[in-house]
This record gives sequence, structure tokens and C-alpha cells, in this order.
Amino acid sequence: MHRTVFLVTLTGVAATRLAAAAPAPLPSPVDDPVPAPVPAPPGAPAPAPARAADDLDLTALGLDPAGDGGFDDKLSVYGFADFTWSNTHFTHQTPYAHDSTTFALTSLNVYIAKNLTPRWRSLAEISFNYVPNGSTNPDGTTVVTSASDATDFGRTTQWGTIAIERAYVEYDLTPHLTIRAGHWLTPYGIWNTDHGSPVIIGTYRPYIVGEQLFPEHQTGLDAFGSAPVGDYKLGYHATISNGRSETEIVADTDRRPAIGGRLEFEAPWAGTLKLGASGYLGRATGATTSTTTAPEVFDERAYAVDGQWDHGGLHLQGEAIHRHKAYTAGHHPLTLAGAPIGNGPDLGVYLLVGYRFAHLWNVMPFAYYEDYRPLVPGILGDIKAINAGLNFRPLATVILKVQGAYAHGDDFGLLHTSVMFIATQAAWVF
Amino acid sequence: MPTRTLLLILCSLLALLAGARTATAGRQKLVVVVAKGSPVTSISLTDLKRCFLGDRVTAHDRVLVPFNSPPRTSERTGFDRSALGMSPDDVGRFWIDRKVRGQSGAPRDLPSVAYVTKVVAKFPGAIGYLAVDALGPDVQPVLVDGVAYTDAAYPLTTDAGAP
Repeated sequence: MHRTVFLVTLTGVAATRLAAAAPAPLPSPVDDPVPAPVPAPPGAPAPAPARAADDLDLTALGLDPAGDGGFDDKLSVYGFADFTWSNTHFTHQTPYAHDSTTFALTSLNVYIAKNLTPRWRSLAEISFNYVPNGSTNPDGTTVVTSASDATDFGRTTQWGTIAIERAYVEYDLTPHLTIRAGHWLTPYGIWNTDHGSPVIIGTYRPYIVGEQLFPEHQTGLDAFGSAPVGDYKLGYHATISNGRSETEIVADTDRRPAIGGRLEFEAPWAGTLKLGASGYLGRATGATTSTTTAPEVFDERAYAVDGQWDHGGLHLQGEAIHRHKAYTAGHHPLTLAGAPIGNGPDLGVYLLVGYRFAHLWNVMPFAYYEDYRPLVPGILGDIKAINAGLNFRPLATVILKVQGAYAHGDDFGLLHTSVMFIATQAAWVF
Repeated sequence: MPTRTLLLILCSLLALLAGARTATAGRQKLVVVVAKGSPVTSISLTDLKRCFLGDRVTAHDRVLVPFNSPPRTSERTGFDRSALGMSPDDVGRFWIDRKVRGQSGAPRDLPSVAYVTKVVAKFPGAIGYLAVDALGPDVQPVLVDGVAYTDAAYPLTTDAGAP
């Protein structure tokens, strides 16, 4: 008898679970017990309210029926940080490129945002850095920012710096045109504006994004907007700024404004497809820091295209960036042999694929390949790099990453070396 | 022996029916609503998605102001899945990533369904969603992609799995 009861119970539980797991049939229109309340015949009595809501206090929620519904004017302070462990190995050791294994607190960025009115908004993002402490000087020595702390019996402390990543005010001129004024991230590609470690899939951005073939930031005006066209969405940016220089945030050194633009297209094709094309035209004028060496001055034209496609957990993303530099006479940089570097292009491209699973801390295995061909060879010369790793997201606000990479440098690199690294990173949003 | 087997099969069938009934009762139509008398009578699923994912969507020269039901309710998770195509985890990641990008935040969460009804009824341009049995006289249902919630093809439902 006990066996029978157990079997019946087990069968019943299994049946209930199966029924709950299966897509539940929706009530048919005939079965729907609630009639449609609209359109109501003229003069018909109003149906009884589902629940008395008139005694709810909306002002306690900061919602004033006489004001702008949903407008949030609270000051918002938040940010992100990340902590990285990395192991780097160079095939050819030099004082400038040598093996290392280290922990590092790599980012601490704080955002301050506020809606001033329904049409005016302000955003500032401030990055707190330990640099220049620990930076390498041109002669291979290390910068140490020690100072005696007068408030602590003259004991030694290390100081760092802050960088204003962006600070601007925006005004919605029309539903499809917003003017942004201040210091902003150049609207090009994907990971120049999505620059925070929590939204970057790998432990670092692809190398070419950090090379700034477009200026990373600009100071000036950005007119942008978007509009739906059926199921599609079109967007644009048009910029004018001080252009590129070490002091662009406070001065247009050459008094020649730089201009740029971007077009965006989004379509719900088998998921979501986003495409973008960007351009930039300006003169880069280096600051005069020596009475004996002329600063670099060059005219640059940069173009970029980018795309990303999300289909369920699948994520594809790529960017291609091209920049042509034309130095003005007497302002060419010199090679190690002392010859002036000629005009020409920089070119970089990467392609990433990843798949986000809904289990194992929402793990996303990813891999990407990048190819960078700079006009002026750096440590590695032309770079071809293969990267692969895992991105875990146990919480929306916590991201854990592990990544391995091999970057092959060619014989034109300054140090004739290739590099391998493995890195793990914890990034979090607060 | 045949009687015991028959009894066993009968009990199993009853349990199966009870389970199916529970699952059906756990999922309802999720009705997109605006204030009674609003000129907004219809919205495309694409615009609804845009509106609740941070884009500015206008209807009849008025910006729609989205209000969400409380998190982890069957209305909220059902809306996230059937309108936005996202799981609760996806939605959490989406809004955190937007914050890091410096973009606008999520629509306001209201503390209860009763607040959804009142806020939608009171605020010009407000848009929200309610389970069909919570519809009241102060709000009016909106067609989604031209389909009324009384139609079997209506695309939005509450989530049977949420509390």
C-alpha cells in the first residue's frame, strides 16, 4: 500500500512539474473571463475598479502628477573599478619589454550624473589613477611619486593623478537632435565609447582601440540623435572640436577646429544587428616641450567601420580603423637612425566572437583576432594577435574574466619580440 | 490487482490535470495600458521595446514615459521576456552596461501593481502594463502590433514561473 501511495505521489509530482515546464496554453478569447474595456459604448457605466488606488501617495515616490511624469532629477553617483593579475612574457627581453607577473588595481572611475531638467542633462566621469607612479622613463628608470606627508610626521606617501574622462552638458533641441558640449569620448567604433572594463568582454580592449587612430577624447560640440524608421533605427553624430593635442582640453593649439561624424544603423535581423561608420578630419599639433626639438604636427584623416550582431547568446563584433597621417614640413618624428618618418597610413582591425550561456555564472567563452599595421613601428612592429578567454557574470554588477593572448611582432619592430600574456580580472560596478 | 492499477492510473491522470490547470492559471495576458482617454490606442512591439529600453518614443507629439512593475513579479518577468526578449539576468546586465556607458537609466520601478494603475492614470504620457485581471476603469488597453489583448495572437503574457 505504501508503495502504491509513493508511486501515485511521485507520478503526480512529475506530472505537475511537466505541466508547469511546458508552455502554458493561453486562455482563448472565448474563455477569457475579462471582457475588453474599450471601446465602451457611450453612456455605459464604468466597470468597478480592480483595487482602490486613490489613497496611494505618489508624492512619497517623488512623483508629482502636476510635474513631469517620471522625470528623475536626483544626483546620481556611481562608478566602476577593476583589479587585474597578469603574467607577461616577451620572447626578447629588454629594459623596456621584460617579463612581469603582477597584481594591479587598474581602474577606479566615478560618474556624477544629473538630469537638470527633462531636456538638460549633465555627466562627468573621473578616473583616479596611480600613474605616474610606477611608469617607465625613456631611459628605463622608474618614476616614483614619493612625498613626505606633513600631516603624518613626514612619513612617505605616494600620490597619483586624476583624469577627467568626460564632462559635458546635453540639451535636447528636438526629439531627434541633442547638443552635447564639453569634453566627450569620440563617437566612433564600439569600445572607444564603451570604454569601461565591465562592458569590455576581455581583460583589455583590443590593442588597436587603445592606439587612438581617432582621438580618444575631444573637447567641443557633438550634435547627435536617432530616429526610428519602421523596425529600424538610424542615428548620427556630427562633431567639431579642438582636435588632437596634449592640451586640447583647454586650448586649440593650432586654431584649426577638427570635424567628425558618425552614422549608425540598427536592424532587428535575426536578433539585433548594429552597424556604424565614422570619420574624422583634423590637424594634430603637439605641445612645445623643448626649445631644441620641434613638436610633431600632422594632418590626419581617419575612417572606421564597426558592426555587432547579437542572436540569443551569440555575439559577433568587429571594428576596422584606418588613419592617414601627413606631417607638416619640419615636424616629422625621427626614426632611431635619425631619418624623418614619412607620411602614410595606420590600419587596424579586430573580429570577436563569443557566446553567453545562461549557466556557470553566465559564462561567455570568447575569442578574437586582431591585425595592426602602424605607420611608425612600435615595440612589436606589425602585430597579429590571437586572444581567447572566458567572461563570467555571476551578478549584473560583477564581472570575472580570464584571457590568454599571443601577439606576434615582425622583424620591423623596435625590439624584435613577440609577447604572450595571461590575465585575470575582476571588474565591478558600484 | 487490476483495481489497484486502475486506481493508480486514475490518480496519475488527476494529478496531470491538476498540474496543467495550475500552469494555465499561472500565466495571464499582460496588457499594455495608458491613461483613460489618451489618444494612444496602439503601439508597435518594436516601439514598446524601444520605450522600455531607454529610447525616446513619442506618440501623438507626446513623449511616452515608461513605468515598470516591481522586479521579480510575474508581470515584470513576463514583460521582460515577452516584450523585451530578455531574461531577468539579461535585463540586469543591460541596465548596468548602460550606466557604465553613461547612458540613461532604467524606467522607474513602481512598488506595486496598484501604483502602476494610479501612475499610468495620472501622468501625462505614462505607459505601463498590467495583468488582465488587474485592469481598472482609469486605464485603457493599447493594441500591440494592432492586436488587442483579447485576441489569441496577443504577444504579451505574465511569467508563470515568477511569484
